[in-house]
Amino acid sequence: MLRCWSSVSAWGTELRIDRIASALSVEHRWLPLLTLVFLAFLVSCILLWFDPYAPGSILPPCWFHALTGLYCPGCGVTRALHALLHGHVGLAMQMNSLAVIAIPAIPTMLWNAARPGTAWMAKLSDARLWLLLVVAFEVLRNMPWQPFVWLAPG
Amino acid sequence: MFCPKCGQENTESAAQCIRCGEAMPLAERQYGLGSSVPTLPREVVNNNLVWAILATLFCCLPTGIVAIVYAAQVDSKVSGGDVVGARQSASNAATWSWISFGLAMVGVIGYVALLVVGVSMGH
Repeated sequence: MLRCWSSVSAWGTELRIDRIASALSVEHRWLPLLTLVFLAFLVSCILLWFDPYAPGSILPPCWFHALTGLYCPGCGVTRALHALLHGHVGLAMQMNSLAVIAIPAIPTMLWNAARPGTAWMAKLSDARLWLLLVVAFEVLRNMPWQPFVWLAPG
Repeated sequence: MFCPKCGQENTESAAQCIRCGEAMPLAERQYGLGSSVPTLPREVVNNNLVWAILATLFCCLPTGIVAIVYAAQVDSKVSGGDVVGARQSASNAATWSWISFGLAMVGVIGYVALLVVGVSMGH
């Protein structure tokens, strides 16, 4: 109880992220994961409130696509997350399959960074794998032919 | 003595790693430092990959891919033993992720501001 009060007064004088962490008695290495959970919650709220398909929606379109006509690796992410939040996994895969793969992978990688896990977790956290994945996705989704058209959103 | 799994430094007599709980090599525990089989300390350098991926997916900017390229450099430098270079690449990866997030924030705020102005002009 005493400890709780002292952390509240500390918040008043100096609101710093490590203060919050020590008040919650969380170790530093878990902070990225907690930050991500908080951001995911925020994004979920926004996407449950606003509809990306509504005309004049405040959810911004991709400016890269607007300028070049090409799809960037992030095109369709808003609609994919919207679809996932409404339980439509198939639709989400159509909008941005990379994002659907990344959503379970990202917390796994942050977990692995905080507390080294199994060998496959370390392999998943290898950036060379993701560089290959992102570049391949970016190139293939702009191909105007049949199997690749499926990777483009919309 | 360094943990063979996560690279955490432990006391010479440690039976288990204080960080990840991995069992420490037997030879070093039983016979002390002098007769130990030399184990290479494997440095852990965080590649900041998660922020680079998020920047690529959410910012629609080529700078996100630059961040992933630096993150990939971290992993190849670590496996090549170049820890100093890996740290430099990791910090570059983080910098480019933050540049992406910053530019995207400016873009989104500008877009929403234009929408609000547009709506108020229309009425």
